[in-house]
Amino acid sequence: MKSEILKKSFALASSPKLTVGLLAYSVLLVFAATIAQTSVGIEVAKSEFIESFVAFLSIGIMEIPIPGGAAVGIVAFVNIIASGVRFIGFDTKGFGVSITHMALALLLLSGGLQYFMRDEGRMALRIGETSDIVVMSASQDSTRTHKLPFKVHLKSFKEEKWQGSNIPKSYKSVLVFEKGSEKIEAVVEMNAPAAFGGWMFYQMSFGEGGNVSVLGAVRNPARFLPWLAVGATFVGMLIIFIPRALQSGSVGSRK
Amino acid sequence: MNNKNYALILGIFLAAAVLITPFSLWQVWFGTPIYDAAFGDSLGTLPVQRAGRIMPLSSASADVLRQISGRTSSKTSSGDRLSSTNWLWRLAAYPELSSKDPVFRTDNRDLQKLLGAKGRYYSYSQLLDNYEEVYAGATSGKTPYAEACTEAVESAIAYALASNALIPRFSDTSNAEKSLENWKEAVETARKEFESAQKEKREPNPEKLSEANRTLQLLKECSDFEASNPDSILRVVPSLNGEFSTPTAVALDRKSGEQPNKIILLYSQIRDAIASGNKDLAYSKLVQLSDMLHSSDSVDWFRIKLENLYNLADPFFCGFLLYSLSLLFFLTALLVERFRDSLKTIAVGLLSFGTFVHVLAFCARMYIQSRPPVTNMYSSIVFVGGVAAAMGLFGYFKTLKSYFGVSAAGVGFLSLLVAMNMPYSGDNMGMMRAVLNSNFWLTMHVVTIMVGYCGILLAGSLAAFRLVANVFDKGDFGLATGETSRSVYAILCFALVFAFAGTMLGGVWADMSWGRFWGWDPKENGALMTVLWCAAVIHARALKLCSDRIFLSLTVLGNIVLAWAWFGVNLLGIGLHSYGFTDGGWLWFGVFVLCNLAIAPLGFIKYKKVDSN
Repeated sequence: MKSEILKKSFALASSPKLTVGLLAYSVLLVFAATIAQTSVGIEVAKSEFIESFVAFLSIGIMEIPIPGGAAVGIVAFVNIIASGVRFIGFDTKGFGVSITHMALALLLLSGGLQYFMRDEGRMALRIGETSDIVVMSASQDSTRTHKLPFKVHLKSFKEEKWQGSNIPKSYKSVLVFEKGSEKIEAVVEMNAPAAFGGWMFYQMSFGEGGNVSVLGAVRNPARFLPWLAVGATFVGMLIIFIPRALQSGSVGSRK
Repeated sequence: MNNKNYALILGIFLAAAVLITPFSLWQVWFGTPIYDAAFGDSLGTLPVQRAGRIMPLSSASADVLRQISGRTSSKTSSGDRLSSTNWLWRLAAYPELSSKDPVFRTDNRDLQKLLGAKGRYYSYSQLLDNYEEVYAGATSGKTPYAEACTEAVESAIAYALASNALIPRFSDTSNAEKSLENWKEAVETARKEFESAQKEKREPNPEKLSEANRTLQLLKECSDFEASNPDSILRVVPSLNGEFSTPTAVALDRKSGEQPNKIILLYSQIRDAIASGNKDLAYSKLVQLSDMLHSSDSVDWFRIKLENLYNLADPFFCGFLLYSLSLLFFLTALLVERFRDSLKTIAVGLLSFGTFVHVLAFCARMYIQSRPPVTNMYSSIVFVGGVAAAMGLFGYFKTLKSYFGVSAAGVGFLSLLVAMNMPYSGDNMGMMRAVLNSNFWLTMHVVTIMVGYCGILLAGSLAAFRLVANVFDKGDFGLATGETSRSVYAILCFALVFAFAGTMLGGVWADMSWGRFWGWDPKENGALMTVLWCAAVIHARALKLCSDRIFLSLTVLGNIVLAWAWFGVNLLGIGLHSYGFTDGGWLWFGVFVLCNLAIAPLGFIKYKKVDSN
């Protein structure tokens, strides 16, 4: 009896219908979240639709509860693992399928980890200013800050435009990280952040005609997990598809 | 020689005819080599810097025209057609006459009525006569009328800037060279007066300063106007250090006693020669000017000439015509059994030429821009259309199945139709903003994802073609459906790999530039939706959850998801990917969605014979 229930729940967890259903449902959920973003903003829609177990779809005056992103993520994780066990194959294709899907499970997992482990804030520094305070969130009533274990000094900021235009070409801040007697100079540019003491610093914006540089400061121990997962998924996909593509006649059938 | 060979020759002949069409139309309509020559020196090949990019005058003038009229040629009030280069020179040579030409366009009925426009087009003088009302309308809120007024005001600014682009702004507009000389003399007189006043320890005589003062005032006003619109002005005067200036700025900058800058002097002489109808003189001055410009190193002439040739040859228009003809021949071949093979041969010939021209054109754009093929919405459409057509053509040669040919021609046709009719949103080879200024990431993320989109689009159109064809096949389409569905599945798998890699590389790029891998930004959501849908459809077939027909229906629905990710989210106008935003377009987006929604249910039509599944 007990094994019967286990068998049935395993069959359900690894059901192909569940896989396709989840994928199709995710498309709709992400679509609903995108539409909601136009009215409540990106951040609110993200926490209501993606980071929640239950989201509420408002149609007219009705509020319909639907499974949120967190719920979908967990079910998808279970489904991927269970299907992986159920349909495991030991040829090249099976190997590729296993890698792809395990990597996707890792991607889902790392998405969850980012939610718990990632800290993000901003630092607005005037040229010549030194600070160790990162503003984590600011609203009208309160400002949450974080004190860094080191100091950041903005040595210079430069905004470059394409010659003969008003179109920005690059933004560049020269920072000096100061910890005790240690002083390290680093350049932060658009698309090229700098790292120090477990934090990454990004060029976000600037103010006061280029006298203030606004930096994004992020601490994320799980930063490379998605990179790894994505890379592994891609490799897995190549293992599945390259042998297929090499077989002649794979595009359409033969005459 | 059999029929097929004749057909092939006919196809090549037709394609060649289409390819020379823009050139010949150019000759018939515009026919003045002094303005536009494909290879030699012409007024259109003079180097100009606009919004930071150095381009031929033919591109800069076409860009201004596109902004104000939506077209790249213009019509005079007497109905003559002018190329964009010709139009710009006419603006300098005959400012009064040009202001009567109906070159501005508005689709707003209320504004048309206010301006007394004939149809959609109106002239600069009509706009000036009602400028106050139009300006008031532009600040009246967020109605379509207000938007039309804002556009009109912006167009007026672009026109005014263009009218001072080639010669400095002086009060006497009849003779540019003389005005330049007068300005030199006025400055000289003023200098002498100042010197003698200083020597004689008296106040300078205001009368002797008045001419210089007046012109100075005018030049300063014009120069301030230019400075407040840095991305719209045409800078035609290159300096030794590679920076470009406008003639007005150069004239204003001139110290007394200095000779007028030789480049603006030659520009003025050309303008005067055109105004007096002396084309030979204009041409000889042009040759002098070209020689002088060639001696400076700040201009890459090969690039300029190539871009000018690209403008004249209009390869996307050629491609569009070739794709349309190819589609026509393919569809006729499907309906007429007797000449089927010959018609198909012609269609394939046309399609091959169309794809070749299309791909060649975006390679030329890559070279001109020194960028990967996709840098903005326009280039993404052109690229996806070209690559999808090439993939379809490859599929055709591999399988010899018409549906590949029809889909390739259809995708190419649609992409160029959309690209040619996109609303104006600046130079489509413009400079890249700071965050996008990375060829590495543009290639890794954008090009990869676009190759994925090519696959989804091609698969979607193959599926759509099959489902529509099934209606005409009187129930006997089990085999064809199975065959198409295998091809579609293979293409979708290919598309999934690229769309997934492209989307996730976007995550890595975002992690590098914004500090987060994924931020649920609308554009990211769109890309994710395409990947998820693609995966859903692939799994549905791989796990045998649906028949071939339903699989094709689901693929057709993928077109909608793709259109949403590609265009729809840009229409929302929120998020960090603002460099892709476009105005308008909901209508065409809706039409595309409805077409696909209408085709998808055709998958429910059953076979007469046994299902191939």
